[in-house]
Amino acid sequence: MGQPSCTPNDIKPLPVALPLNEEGLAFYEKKYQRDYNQWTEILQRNVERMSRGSLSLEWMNTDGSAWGKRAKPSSRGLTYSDVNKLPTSGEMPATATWMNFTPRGSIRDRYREEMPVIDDYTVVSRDELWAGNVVTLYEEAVARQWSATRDIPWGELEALPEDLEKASCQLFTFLTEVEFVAGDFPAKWLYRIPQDFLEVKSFLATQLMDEARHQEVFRKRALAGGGLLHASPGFEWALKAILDAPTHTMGTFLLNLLGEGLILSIFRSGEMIAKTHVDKEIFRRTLQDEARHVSYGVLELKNYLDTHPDRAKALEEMHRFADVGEQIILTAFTEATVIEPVAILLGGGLDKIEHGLEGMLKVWSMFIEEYLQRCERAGFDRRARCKIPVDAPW
Amino acid sequence: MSGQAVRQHRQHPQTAQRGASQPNEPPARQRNGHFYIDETCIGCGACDHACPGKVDAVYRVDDDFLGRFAIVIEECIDCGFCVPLCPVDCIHDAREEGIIEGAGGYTKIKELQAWAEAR
Repeated sequence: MGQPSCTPNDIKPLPVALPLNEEGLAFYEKKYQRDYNQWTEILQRNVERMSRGSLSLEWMNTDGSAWGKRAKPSSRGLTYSDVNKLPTSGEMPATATWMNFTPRGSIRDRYREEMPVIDDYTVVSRDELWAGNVVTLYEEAVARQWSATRDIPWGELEALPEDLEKASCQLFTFLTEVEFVAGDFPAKWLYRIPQDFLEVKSFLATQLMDEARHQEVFRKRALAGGGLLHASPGFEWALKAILDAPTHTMGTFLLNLLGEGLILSIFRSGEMIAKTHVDKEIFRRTLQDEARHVSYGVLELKNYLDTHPDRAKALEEMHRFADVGEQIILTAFTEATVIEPVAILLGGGLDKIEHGLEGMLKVWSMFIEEYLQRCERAGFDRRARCKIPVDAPW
Repeated sequence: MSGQAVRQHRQHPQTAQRGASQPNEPPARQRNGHFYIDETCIGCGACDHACPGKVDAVYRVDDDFLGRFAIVIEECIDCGFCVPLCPVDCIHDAREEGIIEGAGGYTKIKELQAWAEAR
């Protein structure tokens, strides 16, 4: 190894003021002036220690911690459930107070005053994001990942008559739109959740990956069948309403429980909707992913309501939100770009669309009943207030 | 796949091997579990990973398009860890409820399946 060109004494903090023309970089620099003194002190301390040629080894001090207890794998491997049994794992707090990147279970209290604060961590209450099944859903999600490139037999995709192919391409265009918000929503909230809620963040990351794969598989399917078809204004407004939801729990209700529940109902009907075995395989795989998201949504809402100090107030707020959410999902679900292609596929052709609409009545009824059942499971009875009619409007 | 099929408890391959009672293996359990999953399962798999690792009594039913799960009663130890994690209340204890038919929206798919088959 050659002589280092830079010694510890050469390391200096950035200048306080650095003239920059680029507006974004200047803003970033200005923001960091605020923290400048704090990390300059740390840097100078480090440089002085290195200059003296001394070691710290403070990080080997385990006083006040339970370090030394080893995590042991179960027969499935080393799961979050296995490691969370240990005191060294750290207890998930009811309210997060660490707004930085310190891992739960690490020795961190002595450094608290020196730590930066991430202002974007705003979901600080465990009860606004926890679900009793989130850890096992994460393990399941990790075990069930698949590839839209390799696991779908694209080479066997059969050519369909034009009406069925167009209906398929329209359906997959619509589904691609849906999956965009299904990916953006967990992404939006993922970075607002402090690191103490790691398991929830991990699950949301798998949801994000699932949705990325769904965006991919639906886009590829449309393109493999001739191309993407029409975007849907009615659905886009519904998707925006999901993204704009005022709280994580409300948005999770609207996306996971109601919106993805609707999509799950369609996917579960995939055996009847799909006109090729390739499409059946797409529905079979995607419905398993969607089921996890729906599952989280149901138990997240249940936990929120069960733990809220004023359950009646929480219920009424959720009802007010659902009143709006259901209206907009109803608007979306009556769009021609959704109903008509599914009816053509169910019926078996454009000339059999009337017959297909009969089948859509059953899909509609199934969707509403499934939705109301999920609400009941969460302790959120919507039967008397549901804005979506039990019978389809045709 | 019918709900009846989902309620049936498949013999786990490992159970069959244990039944052969190899000389140095522990004897097979004498008592079966009582939990079962009804046909309204949505296939999220939360129950699968709640099952204690050495027990591993929950499995995804082969060839079920809906991706539903079932419990191997020969393996189940009746711990009940899976029950509260189910988002649709489809896991039951037969000792308390007997074998019940699935209900709610998730059984309505049978109407769509019947409609499609009748065409």
